[in-house]
Amino acid sequence: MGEEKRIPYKIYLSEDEIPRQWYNVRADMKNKPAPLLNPGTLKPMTFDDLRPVFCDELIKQELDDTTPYIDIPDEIMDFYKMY
Amino acid sequence: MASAYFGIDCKVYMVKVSYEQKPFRREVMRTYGASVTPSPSMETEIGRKINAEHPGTTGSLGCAISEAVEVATHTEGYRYVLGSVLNQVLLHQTVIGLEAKAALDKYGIKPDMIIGCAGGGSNLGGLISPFMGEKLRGENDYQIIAVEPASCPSFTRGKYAYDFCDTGMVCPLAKMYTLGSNFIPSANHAGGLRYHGMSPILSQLYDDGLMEARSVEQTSVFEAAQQFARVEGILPAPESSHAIRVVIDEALKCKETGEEKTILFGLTGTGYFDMVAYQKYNDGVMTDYIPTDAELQKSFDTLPKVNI
Repeated sequence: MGEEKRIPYKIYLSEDEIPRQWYNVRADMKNKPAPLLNPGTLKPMTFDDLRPVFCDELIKQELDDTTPYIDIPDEIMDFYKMY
Repeated sequence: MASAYFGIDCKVYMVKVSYEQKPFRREVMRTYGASVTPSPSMETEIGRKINAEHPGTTGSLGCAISEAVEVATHTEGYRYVLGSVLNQVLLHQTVIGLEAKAALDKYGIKPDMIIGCAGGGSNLGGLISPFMGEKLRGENDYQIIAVEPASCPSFTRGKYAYDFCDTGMVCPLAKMYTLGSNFIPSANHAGGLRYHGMSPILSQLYDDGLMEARSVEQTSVFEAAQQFARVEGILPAPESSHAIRVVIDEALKCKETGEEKTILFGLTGTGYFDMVAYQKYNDGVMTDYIPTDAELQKSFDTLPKVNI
């Protein structure tokens, strides 16, 4: 085994190695998680049902069972770099 | 911290028992600019109702959610943001798993087991997501174990059913492993992971047999935490220490059988805010509480009837 293959006690990642997308495991699930239901009608919650409660972008993510990778906004990337 | 960075107001409803037992966690939030209210409070309609029905209650995450949602939906410009359970939170937490995987891939390491603590499930879900993705696509196999407190055993003793996400029953219903939205964990439980339900994503994966779950008692958790601190130098959060307990158990099994396994686990936080709990453990006065079947049944009886 070469020197570069020696496994260090701690493995650090550089800023360039911070993931640029979140991974949505639902995209690969055959059995999708059951939808949130409106407690009044027992119908699945829609984007409009959730608007008074959550931010619009987060509702899209909440309801998205199919997109495997979702871009991390630049502002959040800057925060990840800092912390 | 994020609110301070982006210049956004932040109002936090914090479970009363945590507000009182973990004053430094509260002060950290206030230092970053949040206003923190113990829940159930007298500031909201639902808080006043819960206080009237359960005088002196120590609160629960379910109560705090009801209050926060009430304020978010009744205050111009406010929205509700949560720290676990829902898909959006789990999605954001996947950065943990993606980074862990990137670090392991750098040296060609493949874990055999992945172990994490589970309260609402989002940090565990975030850690396991990229690995679970490989498992679901048939590319690799991993043994995945959720570890939960014996005092709040949603996976191991809960029902997989539609339930309210909150005590006030104002939130949508989620299908999840749940102890019932009326379940309030024993106040002597020190280590977080107190939510009555579980992430719908993890609930489905668990129901499909793609992951396992174990429950552990808090004294054994703190024993593991102390051992970890002495061996690794890191003082772990009680939540993370649930995972550490099972990691040690599994490593000891390997020692017995002579099998070599690579175990990945999530060390999700520092224990410095939880020194009151450590003190209890060090003084030998920490106790374990496991709810009886009858207690759980009482809470299950309040599950909403949903036939779909």
